[in-house]
Amino acid sequence: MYGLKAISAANGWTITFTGLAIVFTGLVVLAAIMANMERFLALWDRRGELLAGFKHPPRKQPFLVQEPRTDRPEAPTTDKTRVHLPLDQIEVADHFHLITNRLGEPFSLAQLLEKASKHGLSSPHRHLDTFLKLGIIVEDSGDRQGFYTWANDVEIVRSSAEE
Amino acid sequence: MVSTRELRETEFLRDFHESELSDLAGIAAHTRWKEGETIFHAGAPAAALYLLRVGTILLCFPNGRSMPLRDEGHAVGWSSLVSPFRYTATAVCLSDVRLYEFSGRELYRLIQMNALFGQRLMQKIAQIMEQRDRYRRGTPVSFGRD
Repeated sequence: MYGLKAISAANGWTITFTGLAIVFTGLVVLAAIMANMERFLALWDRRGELLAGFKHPPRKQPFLVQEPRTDRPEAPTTDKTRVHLPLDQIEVADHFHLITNRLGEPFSLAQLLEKASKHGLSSPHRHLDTFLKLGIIVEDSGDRQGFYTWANDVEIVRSSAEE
Repeated sequence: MVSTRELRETEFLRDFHESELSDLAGIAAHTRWKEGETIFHAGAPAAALYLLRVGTILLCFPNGRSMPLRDEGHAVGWSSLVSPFRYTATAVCLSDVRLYEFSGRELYRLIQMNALFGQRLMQKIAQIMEQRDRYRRGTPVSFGRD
């Protein structure tokens, strides 16, 4: 027996499609892992706090207390200054965040630049200058003067022109 | 070639006399630096004093502290006039930077020729040293994991 008949008789088609399915499934899984690598690494960096939260879950309230309804207006929420940045700068800010999560706050700008350059980030100096000018990264005070932190009262949003 | 008029508009040199500015213009040079370039390293022999014209410089001190200089007229490289004549910080350009450069040796020559000019210049340098002393002398703060 030769040709297509021989392939059919030996389950050749089934084996071929099974093999194709396995290979493509593997590629899809690999692509998904690569696409989410940054998130996995961010989770890995925060593993300490996550594990701490798991070990000591917040205590449940013994019972709920129904607060009386009032017609008072809600207390104003704390206002954050919105800073509009283009997408590439938001990506750089995210990258800087990953680095400073490792360095801890307050951080040294020299170390931040060194790490960013090592990671192959494009124009880290220019981006740092922008973040300092816009008050996204601010200088610490007191005996920590000369070290820097991310501003708590600043919210980064994508420039509307790019949306 | 740097003109006396340009130097007169610089904040750092605002109260210098016309003849002193003329002498300074004679030894000044325009220099341009690209973003990310290092103007000088901490510990290197200090050969020149610089005045910022355009751009942002980050002064990085060996203890990890740093100080961005953005406004026109900031002076960097005061160590070129003070013993042991070694820079105390590394100056990195955060943007494209333009500076006036004054050779430390030439500045010394002007100071030797004109005591009043020397006094005025060293008063300015003392003010800068005082401003940056906190950054320079501050102990390293280690909060990080790296």
